[in-house]
Amino acid sequence: MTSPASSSEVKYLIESSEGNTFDVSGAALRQSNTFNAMFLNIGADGPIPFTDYNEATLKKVFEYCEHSVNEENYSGPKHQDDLSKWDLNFFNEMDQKMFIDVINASNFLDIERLTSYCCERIARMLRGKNTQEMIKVITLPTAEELEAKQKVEEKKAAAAKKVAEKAAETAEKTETLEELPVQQLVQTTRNKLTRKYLSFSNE
Amino acid sequence: MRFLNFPFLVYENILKHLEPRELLLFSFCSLKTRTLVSRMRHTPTYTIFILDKPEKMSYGFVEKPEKEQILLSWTWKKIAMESENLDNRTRLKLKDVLLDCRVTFHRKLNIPTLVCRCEDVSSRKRFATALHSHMCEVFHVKPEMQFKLSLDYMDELPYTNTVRDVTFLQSSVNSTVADEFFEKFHVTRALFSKRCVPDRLLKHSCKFLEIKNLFVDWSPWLDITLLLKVKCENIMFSSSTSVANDAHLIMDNFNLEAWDPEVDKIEYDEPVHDYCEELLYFLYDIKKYMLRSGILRRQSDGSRALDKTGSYCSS
Repeated sequence: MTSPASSSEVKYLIESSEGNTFDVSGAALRQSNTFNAMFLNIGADGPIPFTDYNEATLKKVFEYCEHSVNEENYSGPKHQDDLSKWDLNFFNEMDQKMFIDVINASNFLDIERLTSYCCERIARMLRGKNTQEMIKVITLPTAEELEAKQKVEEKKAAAAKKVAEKAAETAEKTETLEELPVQQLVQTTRNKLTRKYLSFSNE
Repeated sequence: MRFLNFPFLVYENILKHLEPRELLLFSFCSLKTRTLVSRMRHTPTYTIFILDKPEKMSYGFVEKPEKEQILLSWTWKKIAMESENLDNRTRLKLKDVLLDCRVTFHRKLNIPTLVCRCEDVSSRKRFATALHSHMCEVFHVKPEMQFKLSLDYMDELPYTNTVRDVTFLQSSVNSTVADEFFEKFHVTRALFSKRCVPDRLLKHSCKFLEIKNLFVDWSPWLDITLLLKVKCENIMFSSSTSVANDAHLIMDNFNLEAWDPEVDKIEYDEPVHDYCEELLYFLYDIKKYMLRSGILRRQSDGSRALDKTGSYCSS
């Protein structure tokens, strides 16, 4: 059920990348600035598609939103040491892949509080590390990876160039045959024939 | 974690949570990380090189005059990097300078320290210069440098012609080296001389008299003849009683008039306060024990001097 009403009783249907739908309360959803900008005022007919994210990720994100419904309005980043037990459990339960998906989804949905906590958590991973350790944490691509990536990009660019050239050729032919006015086409052909005739007579 | 695959807003948010010294190390990781840090909003600030121990240099932001926040320290040691565990080694690339080093952290203050293999003087200077250049590009710090040093290690300073502020610490050299320093580096703003600086460093120096702002912590050597030669805009010094006895000469030299407590209130919002807050607090403390104290005012431009028997602060 979807409705433009802003009552906390209202439930919205969310659609994930798998095509599954599930309910989220209006109060929880309103923590998302993206939702507020897109659907709150105009309403949504049918499920709201957040199809870039899987069901598990979206459920995790909205679990956080449901939990923080009654918390005060967000007023800047909170230190990790000040997080509640529930918050800590919430973060500790996630594996790295889920954590990254949650950050991306939270960023897309523009849920300030969750994004900020996640970012602070990553910042903590970098704290007290030297550059080599930082590189490991953020998994910068190695020289070989960069080289391979560059080769793939070069191949792609070459292929794209070929396709573009072919398309241009085809377009040129089409243009000469179809898009030129009939009179102009007749004139061009006549000119060509005249040139051929002249060169033949000269020989 | 593929950090660079995050959307821009996410890694911008992550970087906001890092301290400047963490950001500096992060900017060393790759060209991409360097660009990320440089895109952040930084408040332009001055930076300082500190050389107080042999073969150890520190670099930091200047938060206030005489107050700095150290970002990075580095030291040069005779070590064979090849024999060390490669995992512990970091390769820093700053412009054309490539440096193999080990990063350790100061226990309490968590200041990163680079332990570098001993290089020749020019390489060490090039590293310091490249670091400042990196800071200008990435953190948008002001290009003009500040130094705090013992003149024993003057050769280690980065390449530059002008210095904003310089603070002298204890050293074993004499006035000739001090004059060499002033010839090599044009001090555009102020000279601070700490209490620990020996008399011989500035006593016979003729170049220091030309600096605009002078803050000399303890200066029994600063006699009246020398004092009458200074061309500065602001001077603050603690001196011997002999100067106090010649107070009228100083007043004449700086064209100062006696302070009228009925009219003039002490409001230390003059530039002098920026420079030597601590010294002024010290003067406040001793005020009650002094019989003679007051502000002297120069009529021509409103410049003032705080006079305590034996101590002067002119602004």
